[in-house]
Amino acid sequence: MEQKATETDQDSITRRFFMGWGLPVFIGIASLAAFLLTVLRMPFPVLLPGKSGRFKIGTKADLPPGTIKYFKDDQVYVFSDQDGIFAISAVCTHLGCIVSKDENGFVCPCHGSRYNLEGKLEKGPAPKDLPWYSVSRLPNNQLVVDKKKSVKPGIRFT
Amino acid sequence: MQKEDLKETPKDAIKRAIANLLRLPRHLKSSVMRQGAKDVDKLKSQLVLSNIFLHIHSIKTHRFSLRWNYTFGLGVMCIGLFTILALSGFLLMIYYRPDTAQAYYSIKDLIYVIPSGRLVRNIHRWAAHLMVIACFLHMARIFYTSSYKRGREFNWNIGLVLFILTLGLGFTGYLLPWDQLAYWATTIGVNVAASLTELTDALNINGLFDIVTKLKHLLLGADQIGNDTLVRFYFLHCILFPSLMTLFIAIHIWRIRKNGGLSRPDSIDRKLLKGTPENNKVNNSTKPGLFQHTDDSSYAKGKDAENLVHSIPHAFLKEFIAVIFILAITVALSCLFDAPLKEPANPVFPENPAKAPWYFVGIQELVSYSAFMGGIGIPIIGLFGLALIPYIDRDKGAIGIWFEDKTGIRVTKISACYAFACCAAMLAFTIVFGWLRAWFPDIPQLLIILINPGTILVVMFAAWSLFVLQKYDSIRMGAMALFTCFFIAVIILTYFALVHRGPNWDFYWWPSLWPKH
Repeated sequence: MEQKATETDQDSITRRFFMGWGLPVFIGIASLAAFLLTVLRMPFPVLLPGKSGRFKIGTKADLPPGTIKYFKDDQVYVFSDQDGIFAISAVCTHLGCIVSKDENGFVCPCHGSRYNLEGKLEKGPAPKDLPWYSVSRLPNNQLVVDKKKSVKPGIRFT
Repeated sequence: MQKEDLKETPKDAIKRAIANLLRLPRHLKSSVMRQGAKDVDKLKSQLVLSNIFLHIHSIKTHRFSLRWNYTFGLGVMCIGLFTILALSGFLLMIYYRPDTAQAYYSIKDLIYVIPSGRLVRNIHRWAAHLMVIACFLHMARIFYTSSYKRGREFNWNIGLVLFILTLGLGFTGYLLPWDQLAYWATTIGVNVAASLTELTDALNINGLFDIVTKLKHLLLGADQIGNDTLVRFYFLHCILFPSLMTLFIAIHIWRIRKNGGLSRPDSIDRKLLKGTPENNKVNNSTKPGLFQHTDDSSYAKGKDAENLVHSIPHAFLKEFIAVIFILAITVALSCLFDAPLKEPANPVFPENPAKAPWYFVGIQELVSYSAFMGGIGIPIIGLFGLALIPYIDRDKGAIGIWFEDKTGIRVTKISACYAFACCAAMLAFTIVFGWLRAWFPDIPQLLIILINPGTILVVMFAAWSLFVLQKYDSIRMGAMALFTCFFIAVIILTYFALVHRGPNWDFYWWPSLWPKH
């Protein structure tokens, strides 16, 4: 008997109830969710202000073997040796401080991470090596470093 | 009827108007106060009950809640400091310009040109520092007096939210002057938050977690800290966080009120109440609250009514003293020590050492072992631990007594010594011998994330806590051991990073020994 009573209770969602309450509530929640999803997109920026990450470093003749140049505004070291030209990031992979160069390599002032002259991590809390960036040549012989493209350490522009 | 009356005596209206004018002060007073002064106690009760600002108090307060050495007035001081911060913040907002080209110079103006600008800025700065300390100590007070039990579990967590908001306000406010200190402290802070990638990189699942970049963009409005970041932090600091803070303070206080005021022991020794104002109206006092003004005898019994005193003036006076005390300290510090302002922010040249605000340098020390573990892992473990305390420790222990009993005092003392020894040993070891990467340069990052001085300290503390829990067969004692360990560790790490870390995060005995360059 009791079971039967509950069954009829459950069955009592009538068409009138569904159309009168269920549908409006469903539509209301759905439109609210759609509205929120639309509005909450707003704080996520689409245009990222700042630099493109590509910058010119001069022609190959400007960088004879043995040159070490620091591009301060882009935080990249450009080296030139017998095997070619390569660019290493000066941003510490730990927490984004700018490393400084001494004769043995790079050292980070924030938490003392040390890298060798090829950017390989030697000591400290940084999780990985300093990235190498791609160096390429424009039609007018200008060389360009692209910070959006990192390359395997050891790959030089020749 | 009335109309006729008016017609019959038309000149009376002037008389009445004059008479009312003469009685204006009295009527004005009664219209503001709403009730007469026939019965002083009733007046006091009505005043508290009918005033929107006063009614967050109950009409009567328990004498135990008025003891200084129970609360030290820390909660009230937090509210007082928040008020000071809001008011001084309003004044600063009038002149501050959230733009990278102008922010720094508007602060310079505040210091050197605007009347009292320097003092108000100093007050804002010092009140912020003091609020972090006051919140921290207030939390310790609640913990050590078991005040998170019996209906107060959720309010403990509201308090935790308030603590996080306080830190968030400190962090966002730090960027606004746009000097070197601001820029690099915030860079470090943001990269700590983004260091989740360290874990995902180590596990090789970084593709799945692009959400880190998304969140970074949300917070910074760009790839790196710039104008958009400054505007966003300005909004967080001046609008979002203070609003949330106000909301959660309201909930916090309202819940305390609904819990029957501050926590207190079940049975209170008369000695404990010595020195608190006494209830001398014995005939009224057997009924709590408004019941004393009625003939109703159905009032709630067992409320310890003879130890309740009117909130006016006793509770209000104590709160006033606490607020004035903390205001005096804030102003005194502001007159003695200026808030720092370094060179304008220079994104290509970091400070050396670049230290976070002092309440984060403890975390920065952990971060110098592993960015992910120190900046995200361990703080989250700590916060989860704090949030879970009232739900795990459900022992029916003594509430409202510092350290519960003699065993509690002993456990706290021993735990403090243990934590001190662990931290000192760990720091000394790390400085003298270095850590894993110094011995095995090619060690995988995952191992460093899992095994570093920070995680080892956490394991040591957890083991100690479990040992205490077993030994005394009491969850409360285990919790007390763990809380004490973390409390001491926070203090030691903060002190150590603040004083003994110099350029390149190297160890120095004293900042005056830093190399000059």
